[in-house]
Amino acid sequence: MQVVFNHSKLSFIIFLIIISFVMIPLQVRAEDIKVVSSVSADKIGIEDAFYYTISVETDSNQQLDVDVKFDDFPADYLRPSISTSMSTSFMNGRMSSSRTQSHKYTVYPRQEGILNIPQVKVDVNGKNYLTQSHKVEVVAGSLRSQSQSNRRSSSPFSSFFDSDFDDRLNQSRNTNSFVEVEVSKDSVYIGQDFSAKYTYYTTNNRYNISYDMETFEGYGHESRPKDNENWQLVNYKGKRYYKIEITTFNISPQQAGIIKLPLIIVNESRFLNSSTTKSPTKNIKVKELPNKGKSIDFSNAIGRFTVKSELDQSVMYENQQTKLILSIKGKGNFSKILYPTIKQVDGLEILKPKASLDIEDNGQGTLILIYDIIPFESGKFKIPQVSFNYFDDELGQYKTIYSESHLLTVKNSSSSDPDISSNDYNVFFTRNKPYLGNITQEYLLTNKLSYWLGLSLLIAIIIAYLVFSRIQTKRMSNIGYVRRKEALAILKKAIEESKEYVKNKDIMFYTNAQNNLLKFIAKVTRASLQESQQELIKELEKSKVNNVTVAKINSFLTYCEQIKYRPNFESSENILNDFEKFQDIYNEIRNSQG
Amino acid sequence: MFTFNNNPNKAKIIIISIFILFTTLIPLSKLTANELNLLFRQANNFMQQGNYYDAIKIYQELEKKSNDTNLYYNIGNCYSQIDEQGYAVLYYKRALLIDSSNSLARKALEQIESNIISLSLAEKSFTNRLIFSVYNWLSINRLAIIIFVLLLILGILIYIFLSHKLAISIFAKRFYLTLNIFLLLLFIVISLSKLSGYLTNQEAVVIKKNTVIHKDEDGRIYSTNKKLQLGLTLKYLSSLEERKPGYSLLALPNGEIIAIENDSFQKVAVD
Repeated sequence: MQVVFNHSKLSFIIFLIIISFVMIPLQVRAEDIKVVSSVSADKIGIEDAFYYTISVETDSNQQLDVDVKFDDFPADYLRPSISTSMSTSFMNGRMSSSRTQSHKYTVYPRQEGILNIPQVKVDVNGKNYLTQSHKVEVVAGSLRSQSQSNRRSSSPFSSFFDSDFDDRLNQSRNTNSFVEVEVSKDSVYIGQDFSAKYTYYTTNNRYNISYDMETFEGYGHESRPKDNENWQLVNYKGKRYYKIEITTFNISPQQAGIIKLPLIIVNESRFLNSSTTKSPTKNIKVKELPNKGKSIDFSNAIGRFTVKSELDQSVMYENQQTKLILSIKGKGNFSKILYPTIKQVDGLEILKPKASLDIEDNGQGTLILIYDIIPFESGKFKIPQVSFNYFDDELGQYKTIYSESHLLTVKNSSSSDPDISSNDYNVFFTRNKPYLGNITQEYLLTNKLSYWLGLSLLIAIIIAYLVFSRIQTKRMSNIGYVRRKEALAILKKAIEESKEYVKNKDIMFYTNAQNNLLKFIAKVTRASLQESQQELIKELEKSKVNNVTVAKINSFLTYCEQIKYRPNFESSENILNDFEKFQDIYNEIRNSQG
Repeated sequence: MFTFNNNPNKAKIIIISIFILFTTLIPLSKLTANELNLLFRQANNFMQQGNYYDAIKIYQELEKKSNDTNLYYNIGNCYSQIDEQGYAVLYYKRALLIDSSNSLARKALEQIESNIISLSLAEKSFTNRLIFSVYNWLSINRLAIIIFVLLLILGILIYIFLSHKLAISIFAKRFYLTLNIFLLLLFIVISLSKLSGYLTNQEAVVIKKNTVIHKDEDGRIYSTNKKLQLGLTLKYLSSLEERKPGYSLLALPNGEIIAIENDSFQKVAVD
């Protein structure tokens, strides 16, 4: 295959290639931005600080718009000092220029160990770059004096920045100057304001001071920088100091957690010297308000308050209007209070309140709320008490306080009635006498088991007594029945006695059985014991005892009579058998009598 | 067959056993009563300090554990003070339902009814008022005690008359016994009427302001422009859940039947 190039076309392609080669370095140069980071020390003490510098370098003269984004930086740091430098150089006959912007952060470690400084995202002219990561060893105490002596001996050419930094730190440890942080509360609740006052003390003569403050985010605050001229001479722990209030924060936390107050470094400038002093670390605990006892109409107020109400006019005419003045006094977060509402009263319109707040320097304040009240009609109206639910931070619990209720009398415009009497008021709104005694779980007696038990017991006793009386009456009225019972008792007694005789194989069993049977017959038949056995048996046959039983009795009696005269009667078996016969007779008699 | 004649000790044993059972039941309820009164006193303190909302919270907790008339009376007082007259009427009525002789609750209720509720109450005759006051004085508890006392008297009379300890004529004996039995039956009848009134009470009180009256006519329920007075007592008839969810059918004091929203009223009956 033959390729044929047109001459003019070939020239055009070669031209394009040459242009492309020329343009490539230009494009690269336009994008040539270097972002580097460095730390001023690899090893420091927990009491020391070091510099963390981020440098952005470009070979062109273009402007640098740099935004450093710290996310979860593992140490505390101060606002950076930003410096820009430009350099121009000639190399091999070509001129090159560069621009460098440095962001220098003063970093304070939080704990001993290895401090891992992560890669930090840097936005340069809309493009993101990452710095290097670094490791700094943090040891106990301070290494500053040690590094200083090392440097003097081994590194006479240490960098200017390092030496300057160490000097500043050296001076910050100077006990002749310090920063005091005063907080109004060490722990607060969400929504409860507190203040933090930074005061600088120095024994040096009064010089101009400036301060750098750590970034402080996440909580609502208001900073009030003070003038640099209000120095005061004070005695502090027996030493004379010049004191100046640097700044005061009013902080209003909106979330629970620990608030780390921002670090402040005070720079004191002198003619040939300067010193730096760092504020101490201070944490404030922010607690959540408890839910227990929180009312639906919680006013957001935290502190201690009292409430009082006053009615501008208690008697008025239809076409007039009056005011209810509600005063909330106390100490707390007045700015956060939700204004209490008054329950609507039929026939009246109660407007939203106008508020005025007055807070004194000691934190005591008064919130005055004025509610306009417009009547629709004439009559007597009760303006109910206003409830105010707040959190008492000293007691750690919610409290509800109430204002007074008021009576408003609205008269017809045309009426000329005299004022209402106090009697009317008492009748209408009298407070009922409360019951202050004890209460019972079950008030109704009819619901109590004990009542029904008592009642049942009473009824049972009455019924039992009636039954008992009836039996008694029956006994008293039926002599035959009584006699039979008594006769049966004689036999029962004889049986008991016979058991003893049988046990002892005593022949007296027969005499005893015979005698008692005869007594029984005499009792039942009302016959005399003097009569003969045959006579008694005849009488018994006439009674209700059945004839078979009578025959058995007769036979047993005869047998007993014969045994008494039988010589050498010793068989225990016979006595036992005869006892059983006697028992049978007794059982038959008893069963026949019921 | 059980007879005192055969074994008189048996009766004694049974009576003593019942007595022991009866006396051991009393301390069981005492323990709870102490806890109950501790809370009651706390609520009373709140009420006396004017902290009615907190007092009501505790009283309502107690309401789940006790049906004491005085508890309801105090709740009514608290509601009265915070200008919730509907609830005040409801609780005074509950206090009277439990104990119609609670004069404090009756006085408070009459005061509200005469001041807040402009009902045209018919003037009652002296006899009516007398019967009314006697019937109210005879609360369920008083009736229970009267029945117990009458039974006791009956028992004593029977004992005296049967054991011939007094030389009383047969006529006198019959007279006293008949009188006692008549009174006993009378109070049993009144008690049953009171108890049935307590158990089947269908009264309801309007507790919501501006409760709109609905009518149930020609098979449909529609709203009227009329409103019910707060604290007005109605008679609960039935729920309209199937036809109009959230509504119930009630009768006005003049017998007129209306429908209102369920959250506009509460029944007086105590669970």
